[in-house]
Amino acid sequence: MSAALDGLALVLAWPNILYPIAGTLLAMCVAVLPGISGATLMAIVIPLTFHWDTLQILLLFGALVGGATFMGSTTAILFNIPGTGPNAATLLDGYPMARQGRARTALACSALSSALGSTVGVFLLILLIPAVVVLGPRMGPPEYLMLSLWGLVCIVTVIRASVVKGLVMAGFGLLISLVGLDPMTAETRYTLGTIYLQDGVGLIPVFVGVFAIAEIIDLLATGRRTVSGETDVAALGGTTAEGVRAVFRHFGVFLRSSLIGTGIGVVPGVGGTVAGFVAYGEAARVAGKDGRFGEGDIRGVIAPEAANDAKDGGSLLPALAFGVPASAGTALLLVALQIHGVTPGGDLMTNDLDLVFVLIWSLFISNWLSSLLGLSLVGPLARLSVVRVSRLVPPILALSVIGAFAYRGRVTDVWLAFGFGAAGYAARRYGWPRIPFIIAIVLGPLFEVNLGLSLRLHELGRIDLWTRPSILLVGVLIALSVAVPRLPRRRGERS
Amino acid sequence: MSVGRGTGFTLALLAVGVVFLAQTIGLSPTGRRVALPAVALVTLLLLVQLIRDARAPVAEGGETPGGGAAPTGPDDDARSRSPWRSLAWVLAVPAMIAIAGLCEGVGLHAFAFLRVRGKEPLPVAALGGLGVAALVWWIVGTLLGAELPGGLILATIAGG
Repeated sequence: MSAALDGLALVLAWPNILYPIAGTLLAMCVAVLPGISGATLMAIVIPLTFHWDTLQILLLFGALVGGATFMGSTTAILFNIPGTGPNAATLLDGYPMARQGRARTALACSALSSALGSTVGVFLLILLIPAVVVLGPRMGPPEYLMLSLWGLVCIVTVIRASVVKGLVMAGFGLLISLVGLDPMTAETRYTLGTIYLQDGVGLIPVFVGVFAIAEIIDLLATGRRTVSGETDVAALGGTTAEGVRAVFRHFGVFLRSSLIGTGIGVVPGVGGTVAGFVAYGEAARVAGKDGRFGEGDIRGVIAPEAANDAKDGGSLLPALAFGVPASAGTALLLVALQIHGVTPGGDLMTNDLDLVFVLIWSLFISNWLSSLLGLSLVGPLARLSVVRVSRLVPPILALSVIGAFAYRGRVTDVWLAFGFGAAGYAARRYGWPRIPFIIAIVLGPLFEVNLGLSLRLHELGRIDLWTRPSILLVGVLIALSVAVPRLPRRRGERS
Repeated sequence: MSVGRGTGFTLALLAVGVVFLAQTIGLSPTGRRVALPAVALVTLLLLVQLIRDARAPVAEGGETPGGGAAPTGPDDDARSRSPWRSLAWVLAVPAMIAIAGLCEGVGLHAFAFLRVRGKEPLPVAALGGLGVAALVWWIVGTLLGAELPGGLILATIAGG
């Protein structure tokens, strides 16, 4: 407790507090640009901080981890372009809300969900530090496999119109995720003989294509004058207060998603994109027939945003306790720390705990600062939804091109994004749901790699279910995910 | 029975599924462990969908990513413009990039779009094109420090 207070005092001391503020503002500005995540910003900043003190590094990098997450959702809501990968799930319902003229509600709800989600994540991080030191190393391929299976099972719950079409799209997502080299044998798959496809299909070009570019084609084809359909800000529905109230009205969704986010954040290599989609799928599953997910359901904004920000807290745990990065952002954080002679592990968690808390509080302050600034910007941002489509298309297309290109610095990714854009438009036009496709493409590699490793461990007789309670726990969650939505229906059918 | 455009899309997906299936058969047992069940399911379900389409053609358009009815706005009452023309406008971007380069291609497309489709005055369209090109140059060239790919024109000039 004293370490936590010492850490807070260090963060709030003058001029230390300037570092998280500057880091947050920098991250917010950059996160609006698609393809440039907090991790990209960190990579740019690391060489500039070689001569800094460890404290300054922790203050700045905590803010860079936290500041980018909310702002990425603004472009997702307004233009269907995820600012960062983890914001991809937000656009599924955020953008339909903007199209209905409720951009203010969606943006405010996203801002508050982010801030509160990060609070849950940070406090769980503080509470879980002792437990994770013990349990963390026990996470292995079978646990990751079960986690990805849970996400894939959630796909069934987000299919609303045609189960056949949804499963076909999920199957295609899974197949696209397998393009490239087999992670177990390095065998080439579905590369059509090209070297480019050996690296696999990039997630960001696919997101940009399937959502942003497909949406631009649709906006042009429908002849819609503005994104919201309104030409006057006064005619827009939805308010900031409505968005704020929605978080408390659906507090269960928020809390469940925050817990999912923190839990997934702890698991190395899974990341915020998966956290967002799993939380989204879970929210859709719980809502059942009452939900209008994919059509502008506010819970579809709360769930991914809360999970995405709560994940930041969780992802710091394995990074600080074992030196195992849980995301690209924490990997770069570790690089920065190691450059300054800070070695993560038991020593850091016991002897330099106040420094750990500096990082945690900096992350916390940055999450709240970005969300509060976001709330104050809701009005001006919502105005973008009444700008004429003919004026919006060129900058949105430019941002799409930048996002696809910046991912790996390859112009081929731009062609790929436009190819997926055309396919995504056709899928939308003929009623083939895109959400199962995206969820499967995100979870596919995680599922395949850990299936292979788990089978190998099984062959070697190294998996004993009874010594791995987390497998059973996730197994129970999967069983509940499948069974619970059916129970009331049967009861209803009987009555 | 006439083949609707919805059925045409299902057939296109089936063709893609068949390509995946053909490639999957040639993979090693480890390589197709996840792929084979996925592609088999996809192909089977697409055949089921084709039968469904034949019995009751799917209504076109207006569906959300989730598959439900699309949200509507006051001026969203009709698909007034040809989707092919809209598709052509958007796919012109990669074509322009291939011809003129990343920065120049996006800028030229923005200019042409604002002038022709947006019916903006010439100075506004020119300013828009320049602004968009500058945005690409600043983010990709300056902020990310990446090399801006040149187009065929530049390659021809350099080659000549």
